[in-house]
Amino acid sequence: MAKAAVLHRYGEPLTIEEVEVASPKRGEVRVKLKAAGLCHSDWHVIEGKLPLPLPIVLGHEGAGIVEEVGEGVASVKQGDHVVLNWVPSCGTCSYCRIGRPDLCEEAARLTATGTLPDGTTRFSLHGKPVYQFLTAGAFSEYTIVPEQAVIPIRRDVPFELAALIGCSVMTGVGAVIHTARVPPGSTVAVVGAGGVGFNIIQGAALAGAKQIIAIDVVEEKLAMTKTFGATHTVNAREDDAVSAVLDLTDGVGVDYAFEAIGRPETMADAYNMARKGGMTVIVGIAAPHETVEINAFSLPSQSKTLTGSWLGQGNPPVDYPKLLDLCAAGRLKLEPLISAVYSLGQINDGFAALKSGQNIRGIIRFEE
Amino acid sequence: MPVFQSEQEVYDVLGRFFEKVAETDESKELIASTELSPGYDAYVQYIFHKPEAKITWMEEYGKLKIVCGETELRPELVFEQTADVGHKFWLGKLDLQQALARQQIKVQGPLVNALKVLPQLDAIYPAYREYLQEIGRSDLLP
Ligand SMILES: [Zn+2]
Ligand SMILES: [Zn+2]
Repeated sequence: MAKAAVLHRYGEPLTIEEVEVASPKRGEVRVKLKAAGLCHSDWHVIEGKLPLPLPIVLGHEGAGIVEEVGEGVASVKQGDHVVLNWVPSCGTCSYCRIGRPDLCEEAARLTATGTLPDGTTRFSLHGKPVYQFLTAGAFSEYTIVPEQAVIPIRRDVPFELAALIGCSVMTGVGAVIHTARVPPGSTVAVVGAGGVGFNIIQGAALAGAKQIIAIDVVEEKLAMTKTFGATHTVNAREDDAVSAVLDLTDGVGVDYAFEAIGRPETMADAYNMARKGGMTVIVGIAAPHETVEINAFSLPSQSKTLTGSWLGQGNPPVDYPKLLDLCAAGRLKLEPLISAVYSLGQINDGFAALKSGQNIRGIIRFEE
Repeated sequence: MPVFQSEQEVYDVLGRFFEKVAETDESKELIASTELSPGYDAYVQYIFHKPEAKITWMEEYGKLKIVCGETELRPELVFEQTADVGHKFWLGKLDLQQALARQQIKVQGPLVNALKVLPQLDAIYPAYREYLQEIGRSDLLP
């Protein structure tokens, strides 16, 4: 049994229930969660923007301790500290083989089914299955995930910080380092100062960008972006973001523009504020039926690269330890990103704060 | 901060300026040489955001007439932009092609009609600057 936050119906609050957690099968691991972040992707599911089978245990940005391993598990053992990896790539599909585990077909399939690879879950309530979001199901005291979904980590980083690595840090820093490969001296704009946006900003600073323009509508968050490396801020409630970026770049636009909100309008803005021949990376996740409108003539005449980045194009087994080393060395600031810590029972308050844009990251800390 | 603080200020500045443009011989010539397609009764409508405002150019007695605010008129050509971008455009500080590519200005209707006018705009840009000085709004000059 485990206490878990369950979504029964779209648009309704999560309810805390005692769910049954079955034992790990072959190749699976039982994790005792210590911390889990509240991410916009979880909120999208609650809102009904990402259709998934219900009831479901949400949560995918988590860290904890391995409690039990199933048969054949070799990469982790009981007592290991781990970060959950919500893109548990299979290693054998065509994308894994060309070195793009972020695009793994098998992991993408599990995103839509809300199950483990065998098509079932280990959570149940009154004998009926409860699905688990992104194979993780991190809003639960215990979860069972495939071996590929846990990354062993150093033990000296607090679980709250380690949890952030598993989504917002990998996504933000990875979009800069892996997807855009921002070279030193670049100009960068970041649309959206949330958990991911802040990590894009500090990723760009880490990469040596000379100008980093943060764009948001919340003045307090914009002020904070400066301590993460932003050189300029634009309040999009007061100023038109594209015009403001052009003004700040002598009318040229930025070398790299990132969108970290997930709205079609801000995605178009990010495209429009990149310079000719520049690159725009969409990191924010929109609902599956939405479309972005961009100018047709600009495609050939401005020759920009428009791309997207899923989990920062990361390779978690390689990247998570590196990111944690950077964090331990003080090169990545994670603590200030945590705006509030909640108990599992307060999770709906956490989502309310997320929705209102008041939190950068809210974290669930599991009780002992 | 946006250049214009209210809808009324857009009409007081851009609207009144367009009325001045309507008095010029160039605009009268232009009206005489332009024919509206069937179903339309206005040439151009500017839809502004931040602040929200609408200015429509129609013809009356062979002259350009400026209508500020909501209207039932059906314009053949619609330009949508922020008031800031509109202001920049009439100052001659905006490359139309670039502004279209970046969606700072969105156009509906036959753009070719607007492109015909472009060469004459070079004469109008300085007029907007002069007009701003005339009405004591040199604070809006870059
Ligand atoms: Zn996430
Ligand atoms: Zn794969």
